[in-house]
Amino acid sequence: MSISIEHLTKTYGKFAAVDDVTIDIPSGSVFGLLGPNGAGKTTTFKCMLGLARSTSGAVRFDGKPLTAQTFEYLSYVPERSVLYDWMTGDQHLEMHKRTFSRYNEKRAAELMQLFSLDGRKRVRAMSKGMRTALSVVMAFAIDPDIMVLDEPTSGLDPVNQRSVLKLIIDASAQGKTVVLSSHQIGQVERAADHIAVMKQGKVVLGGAVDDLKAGSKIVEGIFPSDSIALNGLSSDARIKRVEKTGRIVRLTVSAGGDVLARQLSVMGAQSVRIVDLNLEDIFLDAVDAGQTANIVETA
Amino acid sequence: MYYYVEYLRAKGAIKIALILLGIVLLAAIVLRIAVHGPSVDDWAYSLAHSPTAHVTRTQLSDGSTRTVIDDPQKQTHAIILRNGGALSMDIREPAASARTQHDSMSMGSMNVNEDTHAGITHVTIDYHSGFEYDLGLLFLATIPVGFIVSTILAGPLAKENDGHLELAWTKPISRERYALASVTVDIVAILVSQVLCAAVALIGTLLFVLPRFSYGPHFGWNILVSLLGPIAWFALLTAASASLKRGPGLVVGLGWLFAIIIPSVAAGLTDAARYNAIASVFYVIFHSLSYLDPISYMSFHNMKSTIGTGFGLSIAATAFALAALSIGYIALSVLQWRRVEA
Repeated sequence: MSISIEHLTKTYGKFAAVDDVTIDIPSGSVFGLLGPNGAGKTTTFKCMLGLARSTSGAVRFDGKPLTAQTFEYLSYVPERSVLYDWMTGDQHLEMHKRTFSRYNEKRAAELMQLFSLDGRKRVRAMSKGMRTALSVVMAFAIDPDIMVLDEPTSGLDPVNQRSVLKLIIDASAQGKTVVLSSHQIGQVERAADHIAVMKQGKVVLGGAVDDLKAGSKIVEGIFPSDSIALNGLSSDARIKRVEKTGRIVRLTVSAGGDVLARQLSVMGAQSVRIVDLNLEDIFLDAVDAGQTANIVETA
Repeated sequence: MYYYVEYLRAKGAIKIALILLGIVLLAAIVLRIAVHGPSVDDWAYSLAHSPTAHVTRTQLSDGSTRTVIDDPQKQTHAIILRNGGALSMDIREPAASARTQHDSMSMGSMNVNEDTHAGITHVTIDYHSGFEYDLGLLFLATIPVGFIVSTILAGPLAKENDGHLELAWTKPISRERYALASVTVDIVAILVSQVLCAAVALIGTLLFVLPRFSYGPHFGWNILVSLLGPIAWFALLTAASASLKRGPGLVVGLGWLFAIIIPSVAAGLTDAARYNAIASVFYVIFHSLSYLDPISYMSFHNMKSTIGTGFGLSIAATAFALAALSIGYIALSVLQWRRVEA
């Protein structure tokens, strides 16, 4: 089931939390929505699901607008816990069982076991990670075709994070559409085949992960000391970003990787290598673009 | 059953009502055991069958029996008047102590007065075994419990606003239906608690006396107003809190305050408004606001016949007004809630 977000805008007064966002999420894909805090990811999700009224724009699920019935096959894990403190885990599952026709009791029991959750425990007695896990169990127990997961690993230990990731990948393999937001870019990289990067309410980068990686390379040089003159590099049109960390210089380049590697050697680099871009590089490149004159110096 | 959360809340509120009613019933049972002793009939029998008593029985023209007992040895003089289930006793006997005192007690269908003076105790007892019990008034006793439960359950939509909308609104059900179902579940819980309260009140009565049940002239209306009052109150609090981002706690707390203050101020300004222009303006404001306050309608003018005749309305008009307020407030709640954002 595909999702199409067309020119979505959400303003609060003069502030545009989501600004003319257009995203196409292909059916059966895992779509990562990335962005720094306050970029508008959660607001986009809320507008998508009708939890907040969009100022303008449209969202379509398989070409149809959202209705109450859409939630029969759509599940949502919000960024923060929205569970009822006074209810137990089992009561939350019972609520879903009585509400969703596709609720799978066996699957819910398996997932509760996977996350070592005690269903008799009240939510107020659960840790943040346990609450997140319970939300994930509820989302997957209704056997949805679309999952919108806003920080679904927040507060989880590494083992459970891995379990959530596996659930997402398995769901995708079964043809489900997963929309995922996470600050753990490594996790998104493992699961997502498409991404969009948001910044200040706008989508600044989007597409298939492989396509985004294909265009660029990282040229990394290690210098004998940290007093490196980067003169001329920032003005090179092939270089999208220059990052300097102590004695290491990393260039994100769109073309001419070999030439620039030789240039770093000429500048005195002891060793130079050319590596593929990872999602974190793509993300940082998209987020920093136009903000730091493409030279970033970190400690 | 997408209203499962509200069903659990309602179940919890009924549990609280049951605990309160259980305490009341237990107290009634304890009281019944504490006052258990020879009945009035037993006492009359023992006086008349004392070996030293001189008993004179007379059949009066109205069908009643008059028994005069004189017991010179025990210095007891008693007159017992019996007419069907009614019994009246007037007894004079030596006092246990020389102290002067007066006691009176009413319990169910029995009134007892006891005067001790100059070493003589004078006891009068009036007892009606089949006293009339208006079932319509039985529901008056349910109003406090109805208000307690309606206050506990008030603001179900604001409770969802308090961080649960992402769960409530991602169900395959429209917001309007969800809101109406939640409100309906709560209203049913309020009604159930009131019916339970009526049952406990009835059992409590039967522990002490077997009355003759009757239906007063406003039987149905009394029941209707007793039930509609708490529902209208619940609806008002729900409407006042439906668009809040937080829970309904503040609205519920202040609601009671305003509900009592507004009609009180209106009543207080009634006289001043005739002479003072400013007072008359405030009177109009507070008096008008009183019409929106269900508690203003719940005045008890005549406990023996009817309730809910606030604003001088008839009991039927009061019932209609409370029903209209309930429907209006619920509609307002739903309209507001569907516009809230998570």
